[in-house]
Amino acid sequence: MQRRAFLKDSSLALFAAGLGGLPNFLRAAAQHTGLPSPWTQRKILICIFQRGAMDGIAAVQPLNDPNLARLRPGLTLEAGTESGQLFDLNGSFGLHPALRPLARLFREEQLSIVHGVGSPHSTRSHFDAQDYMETGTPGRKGTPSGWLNRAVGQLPQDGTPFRALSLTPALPRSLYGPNYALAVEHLEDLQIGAGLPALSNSGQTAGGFEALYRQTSEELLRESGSVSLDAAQILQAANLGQYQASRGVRYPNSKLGNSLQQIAQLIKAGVGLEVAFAESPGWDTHARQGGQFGGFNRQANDLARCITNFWKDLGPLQDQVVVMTMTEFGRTIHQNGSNGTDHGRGSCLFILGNEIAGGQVLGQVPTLSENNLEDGRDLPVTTDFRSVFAGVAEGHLGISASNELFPSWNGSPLSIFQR
Amino acid sequence: MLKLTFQMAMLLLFGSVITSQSRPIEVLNSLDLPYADAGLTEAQAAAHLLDRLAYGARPGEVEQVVAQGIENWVLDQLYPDQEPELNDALNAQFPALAMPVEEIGQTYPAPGVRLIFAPLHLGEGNNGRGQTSNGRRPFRGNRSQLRSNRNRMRQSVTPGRNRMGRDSMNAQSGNRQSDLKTRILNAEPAPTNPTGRMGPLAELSERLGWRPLEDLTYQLMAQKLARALYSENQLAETLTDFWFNHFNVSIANANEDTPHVLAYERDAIRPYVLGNFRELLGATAKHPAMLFYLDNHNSNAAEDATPLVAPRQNRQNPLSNNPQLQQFAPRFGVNENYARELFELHTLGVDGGYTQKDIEEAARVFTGWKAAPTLLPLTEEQLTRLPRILNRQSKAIFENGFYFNPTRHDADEKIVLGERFRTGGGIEEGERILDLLAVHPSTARHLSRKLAERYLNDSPPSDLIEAMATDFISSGGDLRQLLIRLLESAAFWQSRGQKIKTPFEYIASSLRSLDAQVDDLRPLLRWSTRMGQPLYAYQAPTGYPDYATHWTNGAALLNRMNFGLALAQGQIAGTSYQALALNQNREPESQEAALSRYLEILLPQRTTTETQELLLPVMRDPAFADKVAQAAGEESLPLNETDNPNSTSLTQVIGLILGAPEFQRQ
Repeated sequence: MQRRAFLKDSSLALFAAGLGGLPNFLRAAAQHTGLPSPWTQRKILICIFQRGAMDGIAAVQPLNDPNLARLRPGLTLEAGTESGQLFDLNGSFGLHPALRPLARLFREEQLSIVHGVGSPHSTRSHFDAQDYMETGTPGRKGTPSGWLNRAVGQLPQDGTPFRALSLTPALPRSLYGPNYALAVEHLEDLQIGAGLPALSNSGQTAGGFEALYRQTSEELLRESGSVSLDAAQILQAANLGQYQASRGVRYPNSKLGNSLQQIAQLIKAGVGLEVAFAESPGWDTHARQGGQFGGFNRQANDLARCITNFWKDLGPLQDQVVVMTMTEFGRTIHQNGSNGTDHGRGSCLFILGNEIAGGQVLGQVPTLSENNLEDGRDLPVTTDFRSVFAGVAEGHLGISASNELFPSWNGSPLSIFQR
Repeated sequence: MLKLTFQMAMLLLFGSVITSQSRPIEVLNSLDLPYADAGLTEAQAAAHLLDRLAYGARPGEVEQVVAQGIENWVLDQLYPDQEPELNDALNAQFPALAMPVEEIGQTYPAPGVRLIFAPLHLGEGNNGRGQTSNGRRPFRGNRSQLRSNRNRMRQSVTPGRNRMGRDSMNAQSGNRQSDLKTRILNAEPAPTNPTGRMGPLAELSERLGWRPLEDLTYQLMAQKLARALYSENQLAETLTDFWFNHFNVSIANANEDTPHVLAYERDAIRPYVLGNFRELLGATAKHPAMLFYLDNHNSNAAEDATPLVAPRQNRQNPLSNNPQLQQFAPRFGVNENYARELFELHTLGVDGGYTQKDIEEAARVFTGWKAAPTLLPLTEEQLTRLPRILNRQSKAIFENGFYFNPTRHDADEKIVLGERFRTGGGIEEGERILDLLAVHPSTARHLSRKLAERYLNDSPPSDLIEAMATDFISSGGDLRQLLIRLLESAAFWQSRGQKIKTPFEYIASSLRSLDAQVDDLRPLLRWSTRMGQPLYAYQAPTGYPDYATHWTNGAALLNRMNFGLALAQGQIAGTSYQALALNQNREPESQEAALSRYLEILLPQRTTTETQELLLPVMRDPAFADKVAQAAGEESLPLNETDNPNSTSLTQVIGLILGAPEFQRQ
């Protein structure tokens, strides 16, 4: 982004003033602009990529399909209220017991599920399928940008340096592209003199860099250097060290838990986050998937606890936020010889937000008899993932589903939001 | 396991090292570098060359280049000598550099490959010393035994806890330890088990001589930084960086192409960067890293096409029951990825005058171009038999990890770029397409533009691009000629400071300018990732964008400022330097003097008056000295505390210079 664009957003000035850390340029900017709505009210989309391919049929299991007990006897559960039983969502689908924390959100109509989601490209390679999902161009690897980056480019207003953020060591493919996006594992790395004990409190080197960057005659470095310094200042003013999770919130100590906690920190600090990306690895459950100590159980429980704690942590800020999960494909309907499942096609995803049409299982899951399965083995893809992504981008971020967002796609966005 | 002798390995390696070439005297006589016309002194010209054709000047290097003669230095770079000492040192530290591509594939298999092949070794009773209980028939073990072994292996690597209560792969969430991908990007070593006990897969990996993938990717990243710092053939190094990025492959996914990226750069890129483009193109087209990365490995004649050689019937492969192995098992159907990127990225460019039909037909031409099965960690028995079988196959080609499988090649007629390929064609069709593409005018312009963007600025003048393209065509794709045309242009010498350093260039030039002693490359590699450039890990086939805004956008410069400070203050573990030694051990008499002296040292022959003017008032601020004193009084520097000869005020000045806007330019 350009510093000019950054400046235009004078609501940042209000934010900074509130925290006492008002950069000079913002003071000036605040004086000659009106009082637009603070961007602490902007919409925020959180994407969680479940790498390894989640078994959508285990996560959200059809309840009345006799084929399941036959095809995956070790993985099929009964609905009921006891532990280890599925939570009956709507008479047709049951939520896996490890995902039970999500049940309340579903009941309170904040959470919906789209089932049978996947790609029209039938690859069963993790890497290719992730690539296609993240670029938003199934079958096309060379697409230079990711769909989330293109979405950022279409956001109606200008943003701050924290507009698009990934809590990963390197940018994910989803955020490749011309629009600025930041990848950082640990937010504390984003401070001037981070990790330098002799300097961390003195601030004079920041003063030195301030002068060097804010006044340099080279335009590009002046603008981007200033944005960098502003970002450091914003974070300093936001005083991330002061962050405390809301009462009763306990994030799991996992990759996803750490990522969502940092995202909550930034949302609460109001630094202008609009699109965030986090990862949950480890869904490739080829063996010992089922059971109380099975791999799926552990992954699903981590996912559910991370999401519910994050949601609780947000408190009143929930209204701004939508969380969407995604995974590259689903898994075979048949269980394999090691009580696991292999690479399949359709899976399901979760969408959480106060403005969505919650409490629904959208999409289609046919009776899982062999002749209804894709290639005789997999849950068929009945909803193109792009139609879900486009529906969320449109409904939540106000981005119209165009060829710009998903090149050479002419499907229509799924209607997920309350009308 | 196959273990080649060291001598054999060296022989193979040296077959691919840049060979010193005699310099044609006419080049020496005709080389005309118009730096004086651009208003540069010899010293400024030398500094410009070291900024652009090299990873920055080391202390005193500008003077050396001037003394040697600008033209002579350029010629040395265009016709580099071998560096046996550097290579020996690198090979000693990074053993994979001396391994043939197949041995690398067998030593550092990708995780998915391990999962499939570990049971194969178990199933055949291979104890890691090359003994098989069922030696006669490769790929045929006792099926039920194989299946049960496979399941045991899977259980050991899927989420779950072993007896130590630890995740067996350390790759699952709910665990403090990072996953493999994160370790690769951050140049972290493989986790070691403190109890010394291992899960079954790790144990078997060790028995079979398999090494962790992150050992290999570290060696790959580390040798790049080491060469940038220590190789005298700096132009070849920057060109290797450029051409790798042009023909990008990636370690980001830790999948089956990842083990071959090291050999790819070594065997398919580095030897050709000052040679002919056609050779470079051909080497990348046939390398397993590219064949996997752009899926040509999985591109086969369609079911209704006529294969060049009819496949043998009744050849059963029990492993095809394994769904994970499906990616290795040939299936019918053409994959267009390679053909498309070959046209769009590697040669003609996006508007280079080809159609979707050309891509489809070209993809058929390249069917059967595959990575060799000997890249997989097969049993000793299989590794002995397989080459014989492949070499006996009619019309097959099997060499250096490449395998042309005639039974998967579509031998029907095709038309590509207006050229007709008659029925019955084999591997020569692909070679012919590469011939056509390599000297196509669109290719010439595309490559000329990209090279000028790399070495001149983000928007090079179009007349220069045309001139370069003309030379490229008339020389039949001579990459050295392309560079000479660039260096003989006035525009090149007028472009001082117009290019923003990439994070890697920034790190390398910082270290070179300080003459830093580097004992541990890992933290530096991690900084490159933090600044947005994990080495060899750009996931898309486009390679890293080569323009300033990609690197400076948003808050990206923050980490550069932090890197400058951390490096200058000795806060990067395993890296140190002698601040006073840079100034012949003379302490500047004042901070002002220190500022101007170290600006000269670190940014030789650069106009630094602006940096000086901006920094001086900051330094004259009484609070500055106080704070420096205060900071110096704190005994809080955890590193080099026994050997930290650098005064805090001096390192602060150096940190500011390294983090300053001027230092980001080249």
